[in-house]
Amino acid sequence: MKFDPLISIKLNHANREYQPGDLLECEYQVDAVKREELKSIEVATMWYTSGKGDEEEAIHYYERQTTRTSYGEIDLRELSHFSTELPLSPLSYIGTNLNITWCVRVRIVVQATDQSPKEFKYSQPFQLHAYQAS
Amino acid sequence: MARPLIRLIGKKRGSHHSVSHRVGMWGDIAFSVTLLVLGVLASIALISQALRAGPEISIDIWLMALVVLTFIVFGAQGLIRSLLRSRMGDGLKFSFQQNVTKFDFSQRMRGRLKLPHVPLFDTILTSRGSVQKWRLPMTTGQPVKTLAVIIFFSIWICISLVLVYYSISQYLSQKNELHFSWWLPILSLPPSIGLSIWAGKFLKTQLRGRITIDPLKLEISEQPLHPGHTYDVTAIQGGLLHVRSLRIFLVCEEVTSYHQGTDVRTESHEVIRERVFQDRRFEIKPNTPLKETFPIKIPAKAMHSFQGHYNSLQWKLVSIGRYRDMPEIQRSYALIVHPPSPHSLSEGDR
Amino acid sequence: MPTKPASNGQKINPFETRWIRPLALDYISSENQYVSRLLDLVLSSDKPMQIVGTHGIGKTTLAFSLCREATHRGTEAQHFRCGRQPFHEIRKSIETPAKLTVLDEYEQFSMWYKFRSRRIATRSPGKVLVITHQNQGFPTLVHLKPNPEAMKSVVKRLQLQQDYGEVIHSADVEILMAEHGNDCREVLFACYDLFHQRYKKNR
Repeated sequence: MKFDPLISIKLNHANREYQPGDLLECEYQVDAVKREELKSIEVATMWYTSGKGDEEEAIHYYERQTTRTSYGEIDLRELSHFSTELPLSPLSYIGTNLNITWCVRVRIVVQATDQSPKEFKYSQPFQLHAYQAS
Repeated sequence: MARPLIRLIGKKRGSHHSVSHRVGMWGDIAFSVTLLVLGVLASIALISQALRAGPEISIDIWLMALVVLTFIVFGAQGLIRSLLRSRMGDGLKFSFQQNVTKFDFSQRMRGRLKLPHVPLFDTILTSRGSVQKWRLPMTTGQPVKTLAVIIFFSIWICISLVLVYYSISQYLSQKNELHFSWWLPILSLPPSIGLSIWAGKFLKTQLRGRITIDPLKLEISEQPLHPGHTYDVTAIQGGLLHVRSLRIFLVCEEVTSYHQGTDVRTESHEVIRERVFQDRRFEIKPNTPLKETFPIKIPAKAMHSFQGHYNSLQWKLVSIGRYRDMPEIQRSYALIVHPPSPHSLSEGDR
Repeated sequence: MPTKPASNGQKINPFETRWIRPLALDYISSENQYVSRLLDLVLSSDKPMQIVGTHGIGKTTLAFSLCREATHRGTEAQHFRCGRQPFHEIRKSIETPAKLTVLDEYEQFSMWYKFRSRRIATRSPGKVLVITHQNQGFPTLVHLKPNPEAMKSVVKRLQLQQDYGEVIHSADVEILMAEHGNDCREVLFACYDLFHQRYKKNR
C-alpha cells in the first residue's frame, strides 16, 4: 500500500501569530517518499483570499529547489530552512464575504518510474496581526 | 456702499467687468440657445429642400448645410460653456465625475511596495481643503446615466420638431389631404410630442437635486487614516436649501466580484455603518452656508483598506440628504485607512 | 464588526467560491453511473454532441466531470471556453484523434467561428462536446433540468467536506431553489449567506 508523501512545516512562533516586520523562520521536511522520486520542492510565503469573490493570491517569498545543483545531486527530503521579513500589509482578516489568510505553502513534484509526475501541496496558515500599542 | 445697479451694457477693464455677471451669463445662454434653435430649424428646412431636389443636390445646398452646421455647433458649445460656468455647473461637473478611486496613479509610486494592496494616499491628485487639510473626493456621479437622459430628451425634441415641420409642409403642398404623406406624420405627432414631454419630465426629475443644488463637500483633517485614531471632518454646503435632514455615516464595506463563464456577480456587504453626523430642519442660505465640524473615529481593531483584483475592503463617508421639493440625495466620499504602524501608534489622536 | 484577525482554527464556510466552482465539484445525479454513461455515449458518437441547459444549472460542472472521467479512463480530454481561448488551439484539439474536446460557452463564438468549428468537428476523428444555453443544431446528449434531489446532495456533501453537520437542511435547499428559479449557482451563494448567519448565531 502506497502512502502519499508527508510534508511537515514548523514556524518559529509556536502560536503562529506575527506582526508586520517580524522575522518568519520556517523549517520544512518531506518524508514517505524515495529520494529519486522527489523531483522538486517549492516553498512560498503568501496570502490568499476566500469567501464570495474570486480567489486571488500573492506571493511574498518564494524559493524552488530541484535535485540537480552545481554541487551535484542533492536530497530534497532533508530538513530545509528559510526566513523572511513579513510585510506591513495586507493583514489577516476574517470578514463576512471576504477572508484574507496568510500561510506557508510547500509544493512538491514526485515522479515514480514509468509514471507521470504528481503534485502534492501542504499549507501551514499563520496570522499577521496589526501592531499593538505596548 | 455700492448701489446694486444692473447694467445691460458694460465695459471690460482688464480682468474686471463692470456689468453684472448674472446678466452676462443669461445673455450668453440666450444667444447660444437662439443660435442653436435657428440652426436646428434651418437644418430641417434644408433637409426637406434637399429631399425635394432629388438625387442631385446643388452646391449651394451644401454650402448652406455648412453654415447651418456651424450655427448648431457654436450654439451647442456656447450653451454648454455657459451652463458649466453657472452655479448649475458645479452640480453638472459633479454629475460627470468619474469614480476617483479608480484612477490610482499612486500605484506607480515607490511607496506601493511598502504597503502592498493598500490604496495609497496621493497628495498630488487630492485637493487641499479650505477648512481642513484635505477635501475628500466624491465617488458617485452617475455620468453615463446623466448623459443618456440628456441625449434621450434631445433626440425626441428633434424628432418632434422634424415631424411638426414635415407635417405642416406636407399639408401645405398636398392637394389630396388624405394622402398618407400628410396624415402619417400627423398621426405620429401626438405620441412623439407625448414622449418628448415625458422625456422632459424625466430629465427634470433626474437632474433635480444634481444640478440645482451645490454638492456637499467634506474635508478631513488628515489622510491616510489609522485605526484607533480620531479625525475631524467638516461638511460644507452652499446655495439656497431647506434641509429636512442631513445624515453622514462612516461605512466600511467588502466588495467581492465572482466570474464564472459569462456571469459576473459583484456583491457589496457593509460590515460597519456608524452615524457620525445628523441634523434636521435647517436652512442653508447664500450668505450662511453649512459649515459643521464633527469627529470620526476609526475603530481600534478595524481592518485597513484593501484593494485586490477581484476583492476589496473600502472605507467611505456616506451622506444622505433630504431636501424640500427634492428627491433624497446620497453621496459617497472615499477614505483610505492604512494599517497601524509604530509611528501612528505613538502619535495617538490627531 | 470584523476586527479579529484570522484565528489558527479558522472556520471555513463550505460554500465559499473555491469549493463551489465547477472544477471543484463532482457532478451529482440521482441516476447511478450517470457521468460514466454519458461519457460512453459521447465517445461512441461519430458526430459532435451538445449539452443544453439554462444559467447555473450545472452544465460546466458536468463538462468538467466528463473530462475527469475521460482522463481516468486514459482518454485525453480538454476543456475550452469559446471566445476566450485562441481558435487555433481549439482546432488543434478537435483534430487530435480519439481526444475529447469540450467547447464551453459556445454562444460566445462568432458566426464565422461557429461555422468553422462545426465543419472541423464534423470531419475530424476527435470527439467534440458543445456546452450551450440554446440548441445549436447538434444531437443533444442531455438537456439539463433542475434536480432538487441532486442539489440537496451537493449541499450536504459540501458541508461534510468541511466536517460540519447539517447546518443547511434539505428543506432550506427546496425553499432556496424556489426563490432563485432553480439557478444552482445562486442557490449556493444563498447557502453561503444562510450558513454564515446560522453558524454565527449558534456559536
